[in-house]
Amino acid sequence: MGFIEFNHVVKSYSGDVKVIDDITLSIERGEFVTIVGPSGCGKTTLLKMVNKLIPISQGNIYIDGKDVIDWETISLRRSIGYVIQHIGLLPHLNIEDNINYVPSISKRKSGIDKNRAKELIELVGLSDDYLSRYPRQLSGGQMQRIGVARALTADPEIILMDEPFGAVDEIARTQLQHEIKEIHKKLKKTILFVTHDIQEALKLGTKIVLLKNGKIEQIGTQEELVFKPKSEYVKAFFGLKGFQASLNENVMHNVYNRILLKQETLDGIYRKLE
Amino acid sequence: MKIITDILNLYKERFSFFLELLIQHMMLTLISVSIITVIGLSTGILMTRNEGFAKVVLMVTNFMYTIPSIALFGVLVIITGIGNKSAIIALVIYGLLPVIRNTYVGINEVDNQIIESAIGMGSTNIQLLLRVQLPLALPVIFAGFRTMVIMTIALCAIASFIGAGGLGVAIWRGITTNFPEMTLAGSLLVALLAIITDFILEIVEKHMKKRIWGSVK
Repeated sequence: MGFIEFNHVVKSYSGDVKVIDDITLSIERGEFVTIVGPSGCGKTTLLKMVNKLIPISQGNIYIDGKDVIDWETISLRRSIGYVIQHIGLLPHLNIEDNINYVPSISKRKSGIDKNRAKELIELVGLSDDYLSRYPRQLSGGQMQRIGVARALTADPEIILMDEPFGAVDEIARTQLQHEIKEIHKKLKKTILFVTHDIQEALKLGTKIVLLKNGKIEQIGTQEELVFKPKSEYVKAFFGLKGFQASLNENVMHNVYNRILLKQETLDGIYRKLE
Repeated sequence: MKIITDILNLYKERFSFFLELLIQHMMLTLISVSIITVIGLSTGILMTRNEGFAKVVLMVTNFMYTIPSIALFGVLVIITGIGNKSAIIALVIYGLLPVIRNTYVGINEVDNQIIESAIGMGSTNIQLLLRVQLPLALPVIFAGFRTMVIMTIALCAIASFIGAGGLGVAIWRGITTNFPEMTLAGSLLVALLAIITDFILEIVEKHMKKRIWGSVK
């Protein structure tokens, strides 16, 4: 049994509209699972059922072998990191207090480790000068870093991320993607990451789940989804964008540099490829 | 010009009389404001937990607001008699609306994303209320509180019509004994009390907004 196990999970509203339709999925400890799909496919719903923000209609979700129904809701949520697109930093608390929010609401008051916030803010690439500032004094990208740091405070095994980088500009997003990947490598957390960005899903996920109308269309690695699509839908969904995302960046850089240095022309490269 | 010097002379001659009325006025206001704050805050908070209850409360408070104050005082005299008790009841009834409404609206208007992430991180209901919703709604709640305090100070002047103390006593005596300087002297003190209180509350409100929202909207 996997660390997180979805077993024939269904979510329906008012009886017949199934937002999530019979999903079975097994996630191992330390995996980085990206959940991708068109809007309305149920990806956010699927994520929110893990920390019980949305109740399950049928089926079960097991975390570490225990049904989420049997987990005490509050302590389950405190043991899972949660990052959303609009970050949800508390505007009336400074960054340090925001990062320490989960320990501060947990019973063990001694749990607030003074160095923890400093450690985390450095992990997400900001200096500890920021600890005394307020969220409104930060840029979107910086706030999102704090959101990530906050999710890590209680040292959770699982982190749920719901389009966390959707609202930041492209440069900041690329950096954040790179950093979350590094953090994952370093800390080996199990991450469930919802996104509608195809390249982001392929770049980050060790396992990628494509959802369509509440059903799993295909699960697999980047290579499997791009080069062995199970259906026309998968092929069309990833398409050229998926292919681009799976190109080796170092090789592409070399090609680009050779063109810049006029060692080759773009036409020449196309000719070679044909 | 003569009337101004007359009023000033009146203050000088009857200093202890006016001082006593002023203190009575402040006490009546203070008692009413405390009761209103406790009832208003808790009702407003309960309303955010129950939509049906919210509708009923808003309907009732809106209705009570439309009753002319003199009529309400008249009715209360029949039920609770004349004196401070009736006055406080009437003041509380009038003052509740702004506090209840602003508490309810203030809490409901806290950004949903913030609420969701606070719940997602494992806040209990009480923690959500005390650590997220109330602090963020505080400037809105305080604005209602400020309106209510000023209103209560003003309305309290009418309360002496049903035998309560306060500066209304001077106004009422001036009217009944055809002594306009006395009426004006009482009114001026009510106005002064309201203006100074409002000024202090405004400073507190600005400070609060700046701390919580980062700007004075």
